[in-house]
Amino acid sequence: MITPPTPENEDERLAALRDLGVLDTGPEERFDRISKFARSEFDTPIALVTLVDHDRQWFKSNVGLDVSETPRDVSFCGHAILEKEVLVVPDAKLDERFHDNPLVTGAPNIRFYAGAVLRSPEGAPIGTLCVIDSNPRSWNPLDTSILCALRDVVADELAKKESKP
Amino acid sequence: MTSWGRETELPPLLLLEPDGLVRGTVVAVCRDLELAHVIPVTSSQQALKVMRQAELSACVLSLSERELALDIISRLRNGEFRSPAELPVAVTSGSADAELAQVLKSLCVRRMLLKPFKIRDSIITVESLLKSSWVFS
Repeated sequence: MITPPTPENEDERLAALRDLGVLDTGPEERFDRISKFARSEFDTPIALVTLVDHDRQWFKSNVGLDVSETPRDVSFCGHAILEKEVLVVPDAKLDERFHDNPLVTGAPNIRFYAGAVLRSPEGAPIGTLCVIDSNPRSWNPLDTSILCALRDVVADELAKKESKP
Repeated sequence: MTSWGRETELPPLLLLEPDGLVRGTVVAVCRDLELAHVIPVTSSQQALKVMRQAELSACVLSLSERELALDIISRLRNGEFRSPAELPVAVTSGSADAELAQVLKSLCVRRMLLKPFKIRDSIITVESLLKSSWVFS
């Protein structure tokens, strides 16, 4: 397993994340609706809106998992936020970054992951909208486009929260 | 991201879809993949206005206001709008029965998507409509 590298702008990234004021807030229908939509669109058992904090990834919306956060050092999303747009892992067991990750070798037995990078209004990578399956899968440019379009809706919703007085 | 100028070079497609998440996602994907310049509307009344004003390459109409939407297609086939009477049309509907299927067939509707449909299927439908629109251009 390879732990997620720390982004160069980590302090600014964490400041942008905290400025949103979303961490550790309760579930909200406006985010859950998008997660449910993504799960249905991609036929995956799990869809999440994740925010990557200093030492954890926390789920603002969680469809299909029974935990509210996981350690950052085993998170897929910790890797995803280093990407420009999307991280796709067709089969985690064949990927050196994840093959012996405890989230792969044990529950929820992740095999497939696709996460689109969520950015703060200033452009800092703060988390993802991701879909996860316990079976390996293929992925194509149309899937990427759809996931990014849904990700943009999540980002708009986060910005609305941020713009509130 | 596609620039406005480039987007307007894409074939214009009317999308009548009341669900904001579906509508916005289809618009964004069509723009991202440079498939179509989607003109999104939320009601049959708005769709009628666009049909009167724009020359389109295809349209996808929700039947949430069934009679109004079917009337628009009927008037299109009668040549009442700026678009060609043969304009490729698909519809989306929350339900379907034999009577509706017969009406859609008589109006030469190419495809019906039953809700809840996948964005993927709507995009494939858009691609199919636009391919067939070339025949009439």
